[in-house]
Amino acid sequence: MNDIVTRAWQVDELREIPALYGTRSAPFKGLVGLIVADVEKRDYRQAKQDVPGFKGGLADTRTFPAEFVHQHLQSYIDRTGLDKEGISAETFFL
Amino acid sequence: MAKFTEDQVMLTLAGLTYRGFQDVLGGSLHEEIVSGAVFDGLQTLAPVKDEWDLIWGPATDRDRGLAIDTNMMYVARSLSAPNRLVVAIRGTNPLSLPDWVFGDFWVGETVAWPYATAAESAVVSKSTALGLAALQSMRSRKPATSTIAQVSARVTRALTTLGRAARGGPADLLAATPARFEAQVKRIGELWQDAAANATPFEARRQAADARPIAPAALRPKLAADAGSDDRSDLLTLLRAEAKESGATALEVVVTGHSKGGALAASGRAVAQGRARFGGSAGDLGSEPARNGRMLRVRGADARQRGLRAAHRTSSRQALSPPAQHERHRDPRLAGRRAS
Repeated sequence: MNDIVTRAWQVDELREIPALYGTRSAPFKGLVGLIVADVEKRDYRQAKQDVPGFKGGLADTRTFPAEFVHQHLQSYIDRTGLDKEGISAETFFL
Repeated sequence: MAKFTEDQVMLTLAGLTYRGFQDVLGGSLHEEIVSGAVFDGLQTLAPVKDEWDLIWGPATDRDRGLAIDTNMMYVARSLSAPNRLVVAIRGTNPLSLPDWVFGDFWVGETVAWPYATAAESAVVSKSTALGLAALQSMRSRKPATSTIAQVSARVTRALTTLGRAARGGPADLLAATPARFEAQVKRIGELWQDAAANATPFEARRQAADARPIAPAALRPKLAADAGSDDRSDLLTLLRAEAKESGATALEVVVTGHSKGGALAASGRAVAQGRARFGGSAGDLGSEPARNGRMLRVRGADARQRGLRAAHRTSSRQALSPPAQHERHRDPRLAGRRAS
C-alpha cells in the first residue's frame, strides 16, 4: 500500500513510511520514530482478511502533502471508478 | 439511469462528510453551511443524486478554543428503499492538529470496551473511545421537508460563497475549486512539516493539552427517552424512532466512513450490535444480549466472534483499507418493535 494511513499502527509498516515517497517522506523519520515508540508496546497487527490491497501510482512531481492526499483519497476514488463520474478529492474538500 | 456499485455509493456518502471541514464560522450559520454543502452533494453527485434524503444532521463538534470542527456525522435515507439508512462519519479533519493528536494518535493507551463480556474482554484505543463518545453525544434534528432542504441548499450555497469571500477566499465556488483544493493541501503540508520539524513526544502533547480521561461508561451512555424540547435527538434515539416507524419491513442501517471515519464506522457497528434491541423495558438498546449470528450481517464477516474482534482491531488501527469501510446492520427483529 502506498497509502500511509493504512500502515497504522503496525510498527514494521510504520517504519517503512519515511522511505515510501523517497526524499519527500524522509523528513518524517523522527516523527514516525515517536509514533512507533508510543504504540510499539501494543503490538497492533493489521486485520487483513477480506481486505483488498492495491498500490496507487506515485508521482515525483507531487509534493508530500499532495501525494499523501492522493494516496489516501484520490487513489480510492480512481480505484472505484468514481473519477469517471467527475468525482475527485476536490469534490469533497469544499 | 446509471447503476452504481455499493462501494461507489458508500465512498461518495463517506466523502461528503468532509464538506465544510475548513469552515470557521460558528453556530447556526455554520450548521447551514455544512448542511448546504452536503445537500449540494446529494443533489449533484451522480452516484447519489436523487437517491438519498438527509434525515439527521449533519452534526458537528468543535473542541473548546478550536476554530474548526473535528467530528461530523449525518444520516441519509434511501428514497428507493425507505427502510435503508446510511450513517456517514467523517474522518480526521486534516487541518486540525488536535484531531490528529487525540483523534488518531492516542493509541498507546486503551479503554475497556463496555459491550464486551466477562468471558471475552476487549479494549479500544483512546482515540477510538474519544471519537465514539463524541459521536454518541452529538444531537441534531430532522430537516423539515425535502422542499425546504432544497431551498436551504441554494441559500446555504450562497452563504458558503459569501463566507469564503468574507474570509478572504475566492467568491466563485466552482471556478475556484482547484485553487482552493491546492490551498487546502498546502495547509495540510505545512501542518505536517511543522509537526516533523518540532517532533514532540505525543504523551507530552497530550499532557500539555490536559487530555481528559475517558471512562468506559462514556461509550455506553444512557439513551434519551425522546428528542429534547429543542427537537434534537442523538443518533441512537433517532434510530430507535426509525425502527418503531419501520412497520413490517426490517430497518437496515449501513455505517460508512473514510479513514478515521471508517474505523469509527466499524466500532459504531459494534455499538449497534451491543444495543441492538430497539426497545425494551428500560428503553436501553442494550438490554438484551447480542445474538449476532441472527442480528447482524456484515459483508465478509459472519458472526459474533469475528465481528467484534474485527471491530476492535480496526478501531485500534484507526485506518481501514479500502478507506470507505461500510458496515451493514440488518436486524429482522427491528420490524414493528415498540418500546414497552
